[in-house]
Amino acid sequence: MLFCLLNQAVQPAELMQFTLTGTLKPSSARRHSSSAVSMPDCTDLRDLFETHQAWIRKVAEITCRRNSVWGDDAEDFVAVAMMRVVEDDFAVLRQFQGKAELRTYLGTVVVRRFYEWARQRWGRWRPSALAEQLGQPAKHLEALVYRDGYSLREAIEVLRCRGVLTESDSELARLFAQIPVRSPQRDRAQSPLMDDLPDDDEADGAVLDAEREERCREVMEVLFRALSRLEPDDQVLVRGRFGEGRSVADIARVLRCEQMPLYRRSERLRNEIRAFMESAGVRPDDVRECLGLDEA
Amino acid sequence: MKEPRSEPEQIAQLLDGRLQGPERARLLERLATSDEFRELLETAAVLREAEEEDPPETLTDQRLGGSAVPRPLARPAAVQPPPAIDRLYGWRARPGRWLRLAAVLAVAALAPLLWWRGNARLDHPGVPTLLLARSEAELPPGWTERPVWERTLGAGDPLGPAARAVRAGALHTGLVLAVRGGDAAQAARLRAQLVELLDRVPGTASLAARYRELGTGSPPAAERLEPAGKELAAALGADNVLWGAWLEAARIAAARRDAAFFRARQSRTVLERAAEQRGRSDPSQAAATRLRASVAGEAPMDWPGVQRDLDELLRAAAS
Repeated sequence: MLFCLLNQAVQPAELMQFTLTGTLKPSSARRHSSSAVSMPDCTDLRDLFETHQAWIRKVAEITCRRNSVWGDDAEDFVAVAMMRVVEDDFAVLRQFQGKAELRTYLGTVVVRRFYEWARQRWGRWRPSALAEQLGQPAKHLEALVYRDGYSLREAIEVLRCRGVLTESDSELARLFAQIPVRSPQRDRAQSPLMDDLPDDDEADGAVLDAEREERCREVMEVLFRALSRLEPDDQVLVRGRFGEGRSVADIARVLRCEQMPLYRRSERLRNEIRAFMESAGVRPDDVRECLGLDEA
Repeated sequence: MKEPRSEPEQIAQLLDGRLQGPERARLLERLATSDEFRELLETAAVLREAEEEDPPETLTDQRLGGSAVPRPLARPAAVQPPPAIDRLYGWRARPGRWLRLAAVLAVAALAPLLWWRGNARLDHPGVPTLLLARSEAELPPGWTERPVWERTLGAGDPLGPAARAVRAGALHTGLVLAVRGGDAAQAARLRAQLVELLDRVPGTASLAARYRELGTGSPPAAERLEPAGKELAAALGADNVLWGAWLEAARIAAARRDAAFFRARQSRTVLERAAEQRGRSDPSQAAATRLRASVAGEAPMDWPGVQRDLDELLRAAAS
């Protein structure tokens, strides 16, 4: 049905009706990429969509690949992404005010739609921060095993068939062993009550009992005090690098700055925050205990 | 009450570098402490990949060279105390991720460099030094008194371009660590060797001058080494410079028994390529193969053996 809608030609009579009665915004609020148009109509919007269709598809495919979604599921999402832009008479394009690059805007819309679509399919699945740090093979393994229910051997076979692995089986097994164990995702379609359950964040933290909870709360308060003292760019760097395990390249893309200085800056910030936390009485043992870790 | 989400176009403005001043700061601060943060990072990552495959026709924003100046940790005194945890970071505190962040920040021994070990590209001679455990990222005392290769002094230069590049990469690694550790004597010695090496290469006079002047003037040497390293790789050939840089960092890691250095993805990739590369002498090929097996194996690493193999590889590559 989605493909029928996308391929449906706009009849002249319908177009005329749309331009007379549609809810188009004034021309000052809309631009096509780098040039302004006087009064956008459906033809303009359709042209704009078709001009950027390949880009929308590329962004959707990359998002799927990065989040371990392939095959029919990925094609499904590509159609969903296209539909997101087309629906409500290209509302996404009508709302665009030209304050950013259109490609960036469309990319943002597509990624947001992906998270909504993925949540409907798999619940609130997120790669663990450690898998993020370990790289794409680790993320794929984690998703296939804990999200999709494959065994490790099956997951490796799936990934080899897709041509996304260069590591040996033993290397992958060692990689997988580093990923925190997670409870398998249940099929949301078969269990609507899942909507009421809390997020599965256990992958990145120990289950807290009542006794440890207070100390952990104190640790987090000190951490938040340390972070709140940082400039916003530094908060993004610290949380992105150390909290989410993201690459410096990704963070540099957010902050629009050179990558190399961020390595040094993140080291310096880490040292400063550590010193702050120690001065506030947070010992490494406290943090280990909160995470349920043995002594290194 | 759940926070309202940012408008996609405002996020796009941020990612395009079109937000400035207080508006940008407010948005970044809000995103850095909200559930939208991961979506922001993922959007940046996706756009980066997409733009690499399909670059924009015009670069309308040229802020890529901006905001590299380090900022102080403390804010002005007028900053308000942080609200309670439950209301601060997202509509519901997620202890797991925040505790992990606390651990990474506060506990030196906990997965020290795993994140950038996993993600930093080996495209700069300074990168191998980042793979070394933070607490041991200094040049061991007396390191420069135990050279692996023979000095080539006097008239005539028997060194080939590849060997010269490997030596330069290794010396640069040592220099980065010596400067980082404040070891002026070893830094001076390494600087002199690098300058001597470069003096024999036509067209590198300005680069030699940069290394010569590292010990004086501003900005600090540590900041000037990065651009110097990039220029070194460009001038002498990135592959061999990086090979030399990695080998020297690996020798130091082996001396420190830093197993994590060898298990980093970049190191494993380097070893895979080294073991598969043909055209080396038999002893070098055997050393590369042994190293790869040693790193990939389950047994504890044979450190004396690893050191011997690394010395063999560097000696052969630098001769």
